[in-house]
Amino acid sequence: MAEPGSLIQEGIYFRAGERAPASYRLVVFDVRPGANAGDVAHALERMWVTLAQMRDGTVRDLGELSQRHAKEIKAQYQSLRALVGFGASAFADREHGPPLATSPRPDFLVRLNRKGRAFPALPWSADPTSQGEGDIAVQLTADRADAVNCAAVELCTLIADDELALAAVGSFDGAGRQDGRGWLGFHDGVSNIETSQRATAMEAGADPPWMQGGTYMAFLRLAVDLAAWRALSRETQELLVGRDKQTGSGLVAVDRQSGAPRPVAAPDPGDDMSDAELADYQDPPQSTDPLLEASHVHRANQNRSSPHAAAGLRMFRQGYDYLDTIGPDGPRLGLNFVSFQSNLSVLEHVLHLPGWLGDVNFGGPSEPGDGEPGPPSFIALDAGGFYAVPPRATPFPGASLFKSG
Amino acid sequence: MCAQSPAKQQMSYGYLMQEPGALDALGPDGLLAWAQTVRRAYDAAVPDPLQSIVAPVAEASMDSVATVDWMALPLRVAECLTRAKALEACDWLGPSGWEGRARLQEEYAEWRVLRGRDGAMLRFEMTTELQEYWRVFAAYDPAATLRTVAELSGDRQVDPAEVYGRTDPFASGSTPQERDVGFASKFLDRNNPSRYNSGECSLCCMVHRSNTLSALLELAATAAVAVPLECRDPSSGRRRYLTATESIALFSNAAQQGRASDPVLVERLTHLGAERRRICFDDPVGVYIVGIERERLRTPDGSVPPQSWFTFGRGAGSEQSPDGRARYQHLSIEIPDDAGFELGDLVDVATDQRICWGGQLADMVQLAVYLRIGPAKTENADDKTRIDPAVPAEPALGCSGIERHYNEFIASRG
Repeated sequence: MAEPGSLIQEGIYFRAGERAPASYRLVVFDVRPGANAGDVAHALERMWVTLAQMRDGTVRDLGELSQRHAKEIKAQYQSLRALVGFGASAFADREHGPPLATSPRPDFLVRLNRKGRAFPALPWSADPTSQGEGDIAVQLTADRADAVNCAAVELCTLIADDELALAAVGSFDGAGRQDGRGWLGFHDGVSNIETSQRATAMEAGADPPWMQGGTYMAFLRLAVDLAAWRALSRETQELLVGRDKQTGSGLVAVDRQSGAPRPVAAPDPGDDMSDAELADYQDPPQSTDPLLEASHVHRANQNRSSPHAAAGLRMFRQGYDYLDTIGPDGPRLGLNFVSFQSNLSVLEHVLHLPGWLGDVNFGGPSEPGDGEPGPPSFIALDAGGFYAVPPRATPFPGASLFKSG
Repeated sequence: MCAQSPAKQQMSYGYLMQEPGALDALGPDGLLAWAQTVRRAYDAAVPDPLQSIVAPVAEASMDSVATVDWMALPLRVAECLTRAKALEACDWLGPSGWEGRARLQEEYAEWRVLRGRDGAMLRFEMTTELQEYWRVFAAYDPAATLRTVAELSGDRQVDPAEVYGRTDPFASGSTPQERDVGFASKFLDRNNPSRYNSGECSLCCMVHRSNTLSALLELAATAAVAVPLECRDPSSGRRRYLTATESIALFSNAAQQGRASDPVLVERLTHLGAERRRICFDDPVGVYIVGIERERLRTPDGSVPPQSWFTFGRGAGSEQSPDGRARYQHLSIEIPDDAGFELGDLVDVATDQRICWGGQLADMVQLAVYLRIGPAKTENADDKTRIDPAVPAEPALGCSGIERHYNEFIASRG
């Protein structure tokens, strides 16, 4: 039996010592009308070879380069990693006739609901795009923005030059932060599962068989109303998040002596944390205060279990912030929420269950008591899509889905 | 929820336990018998309470509640068979009327589905009621038992023989023990059950051998063994609690890998105990239906079904509970006749599939157990035994048994 996680595609940095690189781009493609499975397979194989060549220092247009110039290319792309995923539409009879994929759609691989809210407590933004959903998504990550951007453009020029059977429908960029924080000003991604257990959280089973050892990716581009968030006091923010804004320490109590609830955080453990301190820092332990239990960090991990307990609904997150633009109304920004889980039912449950994130937009009690902060609504969905990310394979992941003839 | 009336506080037994769901059906004798039942189950699971993290009753320091929740779809069955096969097999009626339920519905919740002549789903019902409670209920108040069965089935009257078998519960001199024997022989008969619990007419209490009060308390005993233990994480080298896979593989026949319920209960109890909290199951003990992901469903016109189509019962809702926690033990879902469509016409937006099987709805039902907990203690926090659990990489799901059931299901269809 393969080592846990060994078949998961590159671009998911879950192993010990790995950290997601700073640059991210998701490119979404649709299969051109009239193309067949063989056309799709050919296109994906060409894309996969091209990306591998770029890492080896070869770019199509430049041909054979001198050692010096090849070294420059290799330096630019050596950290580039790509993964490919397939959306619900790739399996849809009604959209592709004849069907492209040889296998039925995995049960929870669906298009996001666009009639009303995508999820009960997560509305669509005022001007959402459908470009997050397509037949195929390619996630590009690298240490440098030029690497992911050039790789994305290279895929598009390849498609044009070789008249491949795909068309880009959208692209989304993102950047990781060195300080480990997000736009809300708090540490982000702290509660992200013990390293040895991440594969268990992510690895898909054999239903369907072609997904065994792969994973499922959820991409939700979440627009953040920063002004609304910043209008809240720091103490309110901390109660909603469940952590101290400065140190990232979990809140351990709520002081109500002065009337209004005030957060009480665990001491800053400093740089040299014991194993127990690190465990509590990453996953704050059970609180006895209902206000803390309603905070974001507790809601997102209600059962505080490892991925070995499936009802813990654990997922591996690898998100990237984005900044779209800065205009007269301020910055338009948000988070590319990207999660990898063994089944997309995990995310569906988290975003539908009351007490988890099904009844509040971000955090806070759904029915606040006197003086308690109500649950603010400041996050909206700009774009999104679910993708099946098959295990590694030759000539490309998911090749078995697109057998021609 | 732990407040007791003065009368009940004067009960001489000294171990009080409210009826599951905060029901109020039992008289003083029945309440005493129920308390004794719970205590016996606890004592059998936890022979030495002083050495266990799980106390039999709430202590003064246990002033907070922790919730452990999971979904009702049998996860292990889906993992062993595939989801599609599991959904089909769980609805298997067979000659007894409850084959799928008795063999496969193992997450402390059981359901039945009523179908029209064309096989389309018309009604879904789920119960989390403990058979141990129903045995006490039937033993001590046969009239109320028959009324409750009638209420759940919609029948005006219920023949006592359908509930008590050959025992006449109203015979002069009839004892609770005799009524219990009669009830168990008929209502819980594995091969020829009463149609009032088989699902033919109604669904009253759980029957799967894992869905019992004893099983729940034995799980707690499993978790207790793992509390003082820790291991070195093989990847990070850091000390950590045992995972459910490790605990269950090393110590227990009482918990089953791969389920939704057992592993999360074991891990949660282990973590709470490792924080040196005193724990007990909240009074009243039970597994409760706390909600359903209604917003995953769509009617043919694309709207979310209204709350009124979902009926929660056999327990207190959040509005009725002093602590605001839902303690329902029964859920039914049915579309009004004038809607113009049936339950089987609803679509789950999370799968884009029509509702064909009870398990699809079970997968949206949130179940919970409430634990009463005391404060965490930090002294002697490092006083743990370190082990190196040599557990297999994959948890033992016991799929051969599940597959055998499935093969019998297939064979039964001819």
